[in-house]
This record gives sequence, structure tokens and C-alpha cells, in this order.
Amino acid sequence: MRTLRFAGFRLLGMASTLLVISFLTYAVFYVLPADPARLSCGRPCTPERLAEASAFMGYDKPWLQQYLDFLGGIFTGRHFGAGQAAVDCAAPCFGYSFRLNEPVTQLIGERAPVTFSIAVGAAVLWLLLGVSSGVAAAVKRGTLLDRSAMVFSTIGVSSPAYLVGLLGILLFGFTLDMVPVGGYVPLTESPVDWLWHLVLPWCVLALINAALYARLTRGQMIEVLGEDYIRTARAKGLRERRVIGRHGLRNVLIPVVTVFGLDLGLLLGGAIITERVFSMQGLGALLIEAVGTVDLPVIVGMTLFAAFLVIVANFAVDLVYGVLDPRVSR
Amino acid sequence: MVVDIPLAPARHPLRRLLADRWAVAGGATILVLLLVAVAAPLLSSVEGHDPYTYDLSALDDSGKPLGRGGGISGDHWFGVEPMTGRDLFAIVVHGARTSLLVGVGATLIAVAIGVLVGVTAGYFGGWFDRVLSRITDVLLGFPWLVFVIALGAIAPARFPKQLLLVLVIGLFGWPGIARVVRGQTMALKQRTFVVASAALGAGTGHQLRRHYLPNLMSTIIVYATMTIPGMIGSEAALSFLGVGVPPPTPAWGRTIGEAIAWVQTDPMFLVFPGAALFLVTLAFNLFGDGLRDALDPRTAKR
Repeated sequence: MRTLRFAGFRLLGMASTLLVISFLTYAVFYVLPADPARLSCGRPCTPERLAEASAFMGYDKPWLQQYLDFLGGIFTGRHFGAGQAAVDCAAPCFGYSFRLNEPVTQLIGERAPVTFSIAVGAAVLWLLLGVSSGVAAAVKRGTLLDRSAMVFSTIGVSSPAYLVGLLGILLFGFTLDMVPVGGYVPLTESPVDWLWHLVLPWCVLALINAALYARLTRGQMIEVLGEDYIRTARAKGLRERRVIGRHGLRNVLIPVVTVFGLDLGLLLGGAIITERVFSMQGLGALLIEAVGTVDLPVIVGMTLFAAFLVIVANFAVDLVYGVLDPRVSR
Repeated sequence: MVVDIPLAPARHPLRRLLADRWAVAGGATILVLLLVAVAAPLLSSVEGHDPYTYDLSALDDSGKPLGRGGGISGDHWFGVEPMTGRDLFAIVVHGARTSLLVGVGATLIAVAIGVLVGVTAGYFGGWFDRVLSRITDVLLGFPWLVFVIALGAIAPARFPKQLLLVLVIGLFGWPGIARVVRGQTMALKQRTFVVASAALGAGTGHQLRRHYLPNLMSTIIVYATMTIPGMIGSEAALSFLGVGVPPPTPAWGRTIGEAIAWVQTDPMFLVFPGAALFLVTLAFNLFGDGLRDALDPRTAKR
């Protein structure tokens, strides 16, 4: 019951945050810029054609109305224009790109697997790597292992992903010829090739981010190992493995989960940068193309989609947090 | 309750900092890079090139630099840029200006907003704190890179791009500082001398100026230092993606982005700007860590 109430509150908070962010984003992107209808009206752009284009896209309405139409479109879908030329944008409609003649949701759906493949794999790898090396460094405190793990983490924190990625391509791709130097193969097409093309991006992104988690885990583990209940567990005669794995790790994971929740936005950014390094056509490429052609519906749709994604994921992390640390949900 | 812990070895923070070899190395590197940035035109004129002049005679027919290691020679110390033949040494030293300027500028903005938000949230508390903290939390996890890339599309073309970068990166960079400062402010509020001054009738302005800010100063300095490398990294990442500092202004990130196409044939084109970016980030991280340990021994590494 308590957990349910906790989840309910979080859900409410999440919904209101999404609403505020969507409003602000919409305001920034539709109030500031040049007339989007003019951008896609073509040449020669007579006043009649401009008005026609504007009405077709729905830009002739007051912008608050446009915002409400946009919000409505997410739940019920929308139509643009009328008659023969009408286009349909099924729910969840995050806008329609008149330049690419495709709903933004569909565009995102085509590109998202690339970016998500990079992001999810890298996140799993970096959490495993970061937490395990942090625990190892804490347990073997002061040894060569500990010190080299910490030196490595300082270097990792200071290395940009794209730099490590390019050096990785140079070494493992071109010189050693072990992995492909770029490109993406869909999972559905060939799982082996999919994995093969993703190994290097995952390792690159994971190595860099694991550094921070190793530091965090180490500091936290050292603190936890000094607690009374650890001494009690040891005094009871529990095996060291169980003391660390069960009593230590659970308390170490709480701050790790918090930081991970905050890093989800960073993860998306990292994936966007990585896909560029490995010339994969993901969400980042879609966004940068849209910026180049000033395809406003795609830009706004993608920005909101990213914000929604991170906030919803944060909500999920909050729930995990409630399970790990029952004190939170009271 | 915050208990005042006596600082065991009552040594001056500066001496503690100087005893930390890594921090000193980081600080020295920062100084050298600052000098390079300031003296960039001088340095490149000593070498004899500027970062803008094309020199197609240094390239072969495919646009690849002539000679070994991307055209490294007594004339071109770091070689030349593929396709254009511009001098890479001049580009790298001038790039230091861009990186440091944007990095430090964005940090100043982030610190100013962060301190303002943190101090007021911690000091006034109540609903004001709850609203500000909520905004801080949301922004902390916000996919800002997507947002900043998108903003590039609608920014007026007349607005200087570098200033825009400073503003946007700074505007997304403050939540971390705000959080720390808020926590410290709330802790200060409980301290005896602050409670006493409030009881004696000190006004808000007086308290903030005389008690809060001086005691927050070391935290602010530490966090500002630790924020700079992140900001430099943000600018470089945006330039790498082609939405940051526009050409022809030299920027390490953009050069690294251009180096993607040349990784196999001219790896040195990647190595020089890459090493510069790595070095500046590492130096600030080491110095920031050392500064934190020196100014605040309680959070020092155990």
C-alpha cells in the first residue's frame, strides 16, 4: 500500500514535470524562430501560398492553441490539411515533418533502435564494470590494484568519448582489424553482426563512465565497511564474500542508483556522440540533419521525446530506489 | 546539528595543496595552457603560420598532407590540416583560446546562477526551496545535449555563436553547484555564530554577506574549478558534432570531428588536438581534486 502511494505521488510529480517541460520547450521553439511556414513554402513564395502552407500546418492559429493541439496529438493523433493532400499523424503524434513527409514519431521509431542499442548495452557494461572494480578497489584498499583503479578512473573521467572512440577505431579497427570501423546492422537482420558492430562503441562509452562509478562505489564501500552492522555480520562468522556481497553491496547500490538516474540524460548524449564516431544513423544524426534543414517539427518532437524519455526513466529509477531502500517510500 | 570538527593538522590550505604532487602538476599544466592561450598569436608567429591561411602545396592530390606524420616538419611543427593545408600547430594553440574562453565563461555563468539558487533555497527554505529544488533535480538529469543541439536551429544568425555557446552551456550547468551550495547553506544556518547573529537582529543582507558567502567561498571555488573541465568538454562535444564553434575559428572539438574521416590515413591530425583536449581536462580535474582535499579536509579521500 505504501509503495503504491509512493508510486502514485511520483507519477503525479512526473506528469506535472512533463507538462511544464513540454510547455516551455514549445514556447521556446515556436515563439522565437522565423516563421516555419515560410521555411517550407517554397519558391516563389507568394502571400497566398504562405497563408495556405501556414493553414495546412496549423501555424495560423494562436500559439497556445497550437500547443494544445500538439499535446492532444500525443494522445489522439492529428490530421493536417484537408481533402486530397491531407496527411495523417497517428497517436502518439509528436508532430509531422513536412520536409520529410513523415510523422516525427515514425522518424524517431526508425532511428531509436540504433541509439538505444548503444545506450543500453553501454549502461549495462559500465555499471557492471564500475561497481565491480569499485568494490574490488575498496576491499583491496591501498594495494596496487586499488591505486591503479583510481588512476585509471581519473584518466577515464578526463577522456572525451569521441576521442577514445576514434583511438579505438584506429587501433582495433584499422590496425588490428578485429572489429568493424563503423556502421550499424539491425538486430533483426543479423544478431551476430549487430553485436559485432556494437562491441567497440559499448566498450568505449562504458570505460569512460565506469570510471566515475568505480570511484563512487569505492568511497561508499569503504564507508559501509566501517559500519557496525558489518562488524556484527563478521562477528557472527559470516563468510567475507557474503558480508560484502549481501550486507555491503545493497547499501552501496543506493547512491549508485541515484547517480545512474541522474546520468540518464548524459547517457543519451553519450550515445548521440558515439553514434557519430562510428557513423551510425541514430537519433543524433536525425536531430543534426533536422537542425541543418531547420525542420522545426522534428527538432521540437525529438527534444520533447528525449525529455519525456529521461523523465520516465527517472521515474523507473525512483521505483527501484524505493525497493532498494525501503526508508524512501515511507 | 552540525558539529564543528577540529581540523587535525592545522596547516594552511595552500601548503596542503603544494604538498599534493598531482594537484601541483595539474596547476602547472593549467598555467602553461593559459600562457599558450594568451600568447597564441605570438607562438604561431614564431613558428611562422596563422591558423587561417590555406597552403595547398603541403598536400598531395588526394588532400592528404605530404611527408611523414601528417606533414610534421621544422616548418609545420604539428603538421598540416588535410584538404586545406592550414598549420595544425597554429590551430591547436589558437584552439586553447576558444576552449578556455568558453569553458571559463560558461563556468562563471553556471556558478553565478548555482550560488544564487543554492543560497536562496537553503536560506529561505519552505515552498521556495521546494520549487527551486525540484527545478534543480529536473535539470540535473535533463538531456541537455539534445536541447542545445536543437537550439542551434532557431538561434538568430546575427547572434555571435561563441557567446551563445557560453550562455547555453552555462544555463544548463548550474544544478550541481546549486545542490551543494544549498546543502552547505542549510548546514550553516544551524551553526551557533549564524544563529547568534540572527538573534542579535542582523538583516538578511548582512547575514548573507558577512556569514554565508565567506563560509561558502571555499566550496564555491572548489566546485567552480571542478566545473571548468566539464564545460570545456561540453563545448568540444558540440563542436565535434558540428553544432558548436563555427569555422574558421579554431576549436579542438571541431578538428577532432573532422579527423574522423582521416583516422586511417592521417592519425596525427587526431592526436594533436585530442591530446590538447585530454590534457586540459585532466589538468583541471587533478587540480580540482587537490583543491578540494586542501580546502575541505573532511571530504578528502580516505
